[in-house]
Amino acid sequence: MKNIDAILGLFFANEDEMVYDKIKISQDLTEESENNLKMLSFKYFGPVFLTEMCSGGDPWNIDFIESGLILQSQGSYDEKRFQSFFTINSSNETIDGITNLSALIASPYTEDTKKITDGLSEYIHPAITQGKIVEENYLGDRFKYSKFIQRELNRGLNLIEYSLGSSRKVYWEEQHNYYCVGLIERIVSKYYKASNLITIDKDNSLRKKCLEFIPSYYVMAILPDYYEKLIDETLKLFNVTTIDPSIRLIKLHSYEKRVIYLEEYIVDNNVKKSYGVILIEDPEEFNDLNKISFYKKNLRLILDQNKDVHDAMVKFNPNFTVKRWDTLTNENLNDLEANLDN
Amino acid sequence: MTFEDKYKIDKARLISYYNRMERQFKDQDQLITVAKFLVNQIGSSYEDIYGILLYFQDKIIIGKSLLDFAIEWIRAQKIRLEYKKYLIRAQYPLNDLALAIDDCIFRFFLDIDKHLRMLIKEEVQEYNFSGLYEIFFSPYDIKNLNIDDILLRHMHNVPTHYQGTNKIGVNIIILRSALSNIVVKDYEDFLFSRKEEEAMKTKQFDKKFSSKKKKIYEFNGALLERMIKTYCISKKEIFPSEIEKAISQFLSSYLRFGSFYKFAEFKDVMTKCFAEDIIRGLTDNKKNQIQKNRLESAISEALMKFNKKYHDSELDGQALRKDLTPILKDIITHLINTNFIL
Repeated sequence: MKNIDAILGLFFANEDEMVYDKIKISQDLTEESENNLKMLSFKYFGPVFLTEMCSGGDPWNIDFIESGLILQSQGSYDEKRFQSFFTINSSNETIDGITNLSALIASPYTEDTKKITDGLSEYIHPAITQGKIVEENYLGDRFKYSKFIQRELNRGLNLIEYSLGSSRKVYWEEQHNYYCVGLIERIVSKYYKASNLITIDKDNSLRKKCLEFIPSYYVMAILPDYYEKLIDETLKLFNVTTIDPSIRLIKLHSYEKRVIYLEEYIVDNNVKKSYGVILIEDPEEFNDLNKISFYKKNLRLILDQNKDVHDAMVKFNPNFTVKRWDTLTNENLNDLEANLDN
Repeated sequence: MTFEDKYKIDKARLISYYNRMERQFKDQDQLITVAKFLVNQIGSSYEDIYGILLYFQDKIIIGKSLLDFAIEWIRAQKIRLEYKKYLIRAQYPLNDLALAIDDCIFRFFLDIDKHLRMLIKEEVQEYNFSGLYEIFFSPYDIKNLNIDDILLRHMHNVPTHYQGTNKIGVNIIILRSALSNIVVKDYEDFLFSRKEEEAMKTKQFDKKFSSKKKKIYEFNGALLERMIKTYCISKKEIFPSEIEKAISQFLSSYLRFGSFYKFAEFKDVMTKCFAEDIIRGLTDNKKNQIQKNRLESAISEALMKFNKKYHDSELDGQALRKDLTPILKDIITHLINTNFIL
C-alpha cells in the first residue's frame, strides 16, 4: 500500500465548537483554493451543528453522506477518476459536550465504508477525546491543545489513508422497514433549477407525528442540495472539473431514531433529474412500511420509465398531497418551516 | 462473528487437559496447577507466570476463574500470531511507526480490549490493563515477565480518571501505552529481516549475474571431455550422434538463442576452450602426443573458411551453433580416426 490519489480530510469540532482540520493536499493549489480549503471544515460541519440543535430538542447526528459521481462526457482520461465520495461523521457525547469528527473521502475505489466508519468512531475519535484527558492530566498548563489535535488528526488521516483501496464488502445486516415522510424532486439544467418537497398535508395530524422522528422538514429539505453543492465545490477546489456529484444517501440518527435519505438520478439531454425519499427506520407507530428495495425500485421507475410521479407518491405514502414545497429560496424555505415544522 | 469465533481456540481440549492436571495434582493449590498448565501451553518461566497469576487472581471478575484468565492468555498468543502474520506483510509509508501502532491496535487489539475488560473488575486501576496487555501480547519466549517490573513500567503511564463514581474510558490510550513498544519492536524486526532477505537476494542475483558473465567469456565442453575420456579408456566406438551432441553442448554453453554474436569476437576463445576440453579428455599418454598450440592451429585452420565468410557478421547464437557444429564435429571425427595424432 498504497499510493492512492484521493481527497482526504479530517475535521474535528470540540465541545466549544472550535473546529480543527487536517486535509491531505498532494498537489499545488492556487492561493484562492487554499483559502477556500480553510473554510471546508466549517461548511461540512454546518448541517451537523444545525441538526444538533434541532427544534424538537433531541440532538440529531448526521452519520453518513454518500454521493454518486457523474462523469461529464467531455472528461479527459488524464484527469482524476473517483469511484466513491463520502463523508462520515462520528459524534461523541462527553460530560463537557458533544465532539464531532468528520472524514471527507474521495477515492478511485469503491471503498469499504463500514471499515472506515468503524476506524473513525471506534479508534480515531476516542483516541482524541481520551488523549486529551490523559495529556491534560500529565502536562497541566503545558498541554497545547491545538498541537495535540493536529497530531491526532494527522495520525487519524494516515490510518484512513492506509485503509483505502480495499474494495467494498457486503455485510450481513438486518433488513429494516421504512416509512416514507417525504419525496424530494430536484431538476437541474444549465438554465433551470427546481427543488421541491412533497409530503403530508400540513393540516394532517400525521405530519406532526412524523416530525417527532426527523430533525425537521426544513433540515431534511435542504440537506441534499446543500451537500451536493458542497461536494461539487470540494471537487473543484481539488481541480476535479469533469465529475458532477449526485447525492445518493444521507444517514442521520438521534438516540434510537434513524432516518435515511435515499436518492436516484438520471441525466437526459443535459438535464439532471433526481428523486429522493426521506425514510424513517422501523417506526412502530406507522403502517405502510416498506423495504429499501421497494423505494429504490419505484424511484428508478419514475426516472427510467417516466412513470407518473403521482402514482409513485401514493405508493410511497397515500397521505402525500400534490402540493410541492419549493426549497430553493430562503423565503420559500421559511414558509415551509413555518407550515410544516410546528 | 463474535470475538470468540473470530479467534477460536480449542477451549474444550484445553479445559480437559487442565482437568487431567487437576486430577493428577489433587491436593495442589489451583494457582500452582494453573501456572503449570500455562507453562506447558505458552512456555514462559514458571516463577513469572506464578507471580502474574498471583497478582491478578483477586482482580478477576466474580464468576470468572484463574482458568478463564489462563485461557484468554492462550487466546492472546493466538491473536499475536495472527497479528504477526499481518504485520510481516504490512508496508507502512515511510515506515511510519505511529501508523503501524494505530493500524495494528485498530485491526487486532481493540476487540480483545473489549473482551478482556469483561474478565477484570471494572474498579481495577487502568495501569493494570496496560500491564496485562503487555504480558498477554509479548512474545512467548520473552526473557523477563516479572510482574513487578512490568507494573512499575506502566504505573505512571496512564492515570485512572473518575467522573463522580464513573471511571472514564481511556482504553485506546491504554492500548497504545501497552502495545506501542511491542508493535514497534516487531515491525522493526520484520524490517530488519526484510532488509537481510533483500541483501541476500541481491547477493544471489549478483552471483548469478557474475556466473552468467563468466559463461559469456568461456565455452564449457564437459560432455566433450567425458566422451573423449571414455573413448581413450574403453576404446568403445563413438557414434556420430554422440559427437554431435557433445559439440552442441559445447557450443550451447556460450552461444544462446536470441543473442547476437560476431564470430571474430569469440573465435579465439572458442578455439582455446575447444582445444583445452579435448586435451583434458585425453589420457596422460595421449596428452604427451599432442601439443595444445598445434591443436589450436588445426582448429583455426578448419574454421578458416567460416571465418572468411562470417568474420564480421552478427549472427544469432542458434544459427552459429548450427553452422559451427559440422565443422567442429569433423575435427573430433578426424582426431578419433587418427587416434589423436595430428
